Amino acid sequence: MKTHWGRLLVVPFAISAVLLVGSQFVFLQQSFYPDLAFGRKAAHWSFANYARILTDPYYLRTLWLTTYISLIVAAACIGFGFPIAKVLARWPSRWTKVLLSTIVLTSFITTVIQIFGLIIIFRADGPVNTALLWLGITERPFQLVGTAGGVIIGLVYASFGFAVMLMYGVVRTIPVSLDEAAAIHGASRRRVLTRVVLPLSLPGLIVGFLTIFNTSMGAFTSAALLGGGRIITLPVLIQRTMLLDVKYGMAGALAALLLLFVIALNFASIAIMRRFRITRMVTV
Amino acid sequence: MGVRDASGAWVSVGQTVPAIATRGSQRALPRLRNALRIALTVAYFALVFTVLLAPLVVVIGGSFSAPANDQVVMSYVQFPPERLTLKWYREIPPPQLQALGFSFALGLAVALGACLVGVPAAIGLVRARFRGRGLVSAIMRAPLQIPHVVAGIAFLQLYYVAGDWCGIYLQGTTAGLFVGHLFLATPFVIGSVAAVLQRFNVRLEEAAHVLGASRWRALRRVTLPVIMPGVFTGALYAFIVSFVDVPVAVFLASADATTFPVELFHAMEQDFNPSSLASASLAAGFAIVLVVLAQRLVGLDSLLKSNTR
Amino acid sequence: MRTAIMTLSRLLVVALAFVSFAAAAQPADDTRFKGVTLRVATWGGATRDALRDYVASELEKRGAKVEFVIGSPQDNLAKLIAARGQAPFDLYEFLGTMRPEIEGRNLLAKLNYSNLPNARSLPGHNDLMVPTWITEEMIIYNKDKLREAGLAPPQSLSDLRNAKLAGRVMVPDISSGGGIEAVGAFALTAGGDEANVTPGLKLITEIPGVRFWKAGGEVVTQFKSGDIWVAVAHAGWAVRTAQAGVNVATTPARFGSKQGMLKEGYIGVVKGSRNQEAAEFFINTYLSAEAQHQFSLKVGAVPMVAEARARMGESPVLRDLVVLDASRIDNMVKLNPAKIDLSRWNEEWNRTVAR
Repeated sequence: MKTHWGRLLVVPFAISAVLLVGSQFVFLQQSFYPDLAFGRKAAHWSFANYARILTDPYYLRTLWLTTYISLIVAAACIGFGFPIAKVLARWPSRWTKVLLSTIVLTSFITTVIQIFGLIIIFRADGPVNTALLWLGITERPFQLVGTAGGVIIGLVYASFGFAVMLMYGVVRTIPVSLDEAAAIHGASRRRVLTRVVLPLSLPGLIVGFLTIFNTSMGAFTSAALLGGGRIITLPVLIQRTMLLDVKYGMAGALAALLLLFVIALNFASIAIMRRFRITRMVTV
Repeated sequence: MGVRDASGAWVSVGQTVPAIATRGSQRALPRLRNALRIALTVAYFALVFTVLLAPLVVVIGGSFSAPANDQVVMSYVQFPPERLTLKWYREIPPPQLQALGFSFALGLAVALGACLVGVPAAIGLVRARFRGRGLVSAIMRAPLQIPHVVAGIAFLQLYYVAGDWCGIYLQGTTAGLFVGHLFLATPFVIGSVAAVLQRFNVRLEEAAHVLGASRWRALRRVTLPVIMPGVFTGALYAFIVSFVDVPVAVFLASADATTFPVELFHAMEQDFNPSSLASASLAAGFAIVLVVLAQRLVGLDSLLKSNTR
Repeated sequence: MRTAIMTLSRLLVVALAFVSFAAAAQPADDTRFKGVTLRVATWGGATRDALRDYVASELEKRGAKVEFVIGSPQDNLAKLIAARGQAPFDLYEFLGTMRPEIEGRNLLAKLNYSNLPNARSLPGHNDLMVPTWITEEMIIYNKDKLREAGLAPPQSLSDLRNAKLAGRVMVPDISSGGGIEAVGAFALTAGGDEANVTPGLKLITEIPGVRFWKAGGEVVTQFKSGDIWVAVAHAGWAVRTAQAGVNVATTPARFGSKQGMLKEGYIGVVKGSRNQEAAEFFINTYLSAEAQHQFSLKVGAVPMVAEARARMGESPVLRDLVVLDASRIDNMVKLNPAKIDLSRWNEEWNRTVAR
């Protein structure tokens, strides 16, 4: 007798499908109606919202701002995180577990709490600014809230733990025996790194970069709290358009744009993974 | 003799290694360079971990800090603390405590719901063979692709339309938040359970079946206990996703149903106050306990592997 | 005879019992609002504290529970709109400049003035809202810091465009409680008006290194840490900054022959609220002389009720920093709410001021 395991799927799939289709359909549909004052919508279907996004310099500027902030965040996470991940992946010791747990911990703490701490640390008379002024690096205290630098710092905090965990996984898939073989043949440590580990990690690193870039494009919390009303990235703009300006159509269009972008990027990641035949990073 | 590289292809050691080996490595002062390297590594680690943990330390430390004098204005946080006190813990605004409890309960509910939906789904996805399985899998894992902000506004607008249509308004209700978070969390359970299920040796279950147990009984008594770590990890992630979420809750919460991160979010905008530090420390303390517990129970590797974001 | 005394004593006991019973019995008022949870949407900080201590307490004595929903009026308006008629809170405190926006969206319930004796004589009340306090938008500055820098106190908003003040000036974000008045004030200073705020927004961007506050508490924090030397905020914030130990003074900005900009606070009951009676009781208590007086001391705003206004002179800080007499009020600029298109202002702000 054949067991119909598929039957188990019916109810869960129905629930998932209804939620997915229901939620995505409504806002996408709304995005095709221009907004009138006081939260009302026009009666006729049109591309007006999308046309505005693509032609209005304000929206274009926001897109550009969000993009370059996310690029910097991804680069910082991968750049600063890779050494950590590599050392941890290659170091057989029980300290590895402790350090990794600490990193996991930071990504389990609500971003809001982290930003709370950051705001206190970066106060004008706080430790960081006192040091910066004393060292003569800046004339005026560095402002965390309301600057692009501040938003970048917040976003890095939000993604760093995840980046390290990702890259740890990547480096772990590279057999240590490769390193050892190279070393036996006389390669210096630096060579092992640049000619063995890095090239083999590269696809994974690229995927990691794209993932963090992706997450940062859609990251709301850090940008909202540290943007200070001046640095408005796409996710914050979506929230403000929806809740403060009460423009459902435009908010929907902006959200659709973000969604499209994210999906396109994910496809790109998958294509890269397929190209290099990395199967270990995806499950099911 | 050879090894596999990350893409699975065989790499012959003899072929590649000479190309990357140096001609003459420096033997002079190897110990010094080694020591320097180790020192730099340690220094870098110390720097990164200090930077990473600093905000948390400041929040927890600041929550115990007493004002230097009796100031009327409390929006000024003193760190490092000059004096220690439990005052802020006593003065945590009741809405924040309530929200903390609410987040906790909601997280549990979401974890449970995600398991109820996700475990059968995972079993079905891994074991059933039918055309379109890929599509079904993609649909069920789609929420992972959607930025949380988009999910937030999508659900809010869905609730508006649903409310206009049948009179039941879900925005700002516990049920509404539950459904929104369930949407986000279920794929984690599915991914985690599927990963474990794939490694599970089906023959164990089949043996039980051959020995007389019904399919259902074999599943329950043999498979489920073995894949429990995967279920637990998935449930843990589901809980965390719900507990820390801001973007979705910001749209779906209201005075009736607020999660702790949203309360803190609003408090930071309006009411910047050391007693918020106390409640934040409580939440952070809770997360620490959770991580330690999870590690004891499932092990770190399991947690890392099923990070399917 | 003995029987008579005994009967009398029995009667006396009964009478005493009856009287003591009547005395001990709860007057109908004490459990009047039992089981009611009243939600009030207002500013956080001192405003919430004052309302909690002097107004909410009266309701709680009568069995109600009072919760506060904190946010700037614009944020709370957003919550109100997002709730789509489901009354997320019962009472809503907002600014006079938001009246058309709120009336246009049909968000408030009709008030029953038989429950609001304290409000009947106040100017500006109508069937949907009641005025609760007034204040003045000021230029607040740190006397010591300006003196050290050799700067004269700023007299108008365009004086903030001083290179020596770079990075030291803080103005309200448009979505903060002080935002609308500030944008209006800048517009008037730059030669625009309520219908044309662009010159004002441009003026804001010309202030070197200008910073924005979302919650008034930030003003106090930044003054205290020495981060900022000048801020645009209402007089109450000057009071609270002074109370935090910073040596501040205030100047009302000049607008031609007029000086200072008026800011009015209003309160209304949200449409769909199920606790209208308790809500009206709240409003009435808010407008009692005692509550108004205590509120003004804590928040630094000028009460609506004449009795409380007269008592403001009792506090030296209030006397120095907050405007008091009628002639000054008459000479102040007041924005015309009918000409304010908030969503257009928001759009222009996003485009001009937000980087």
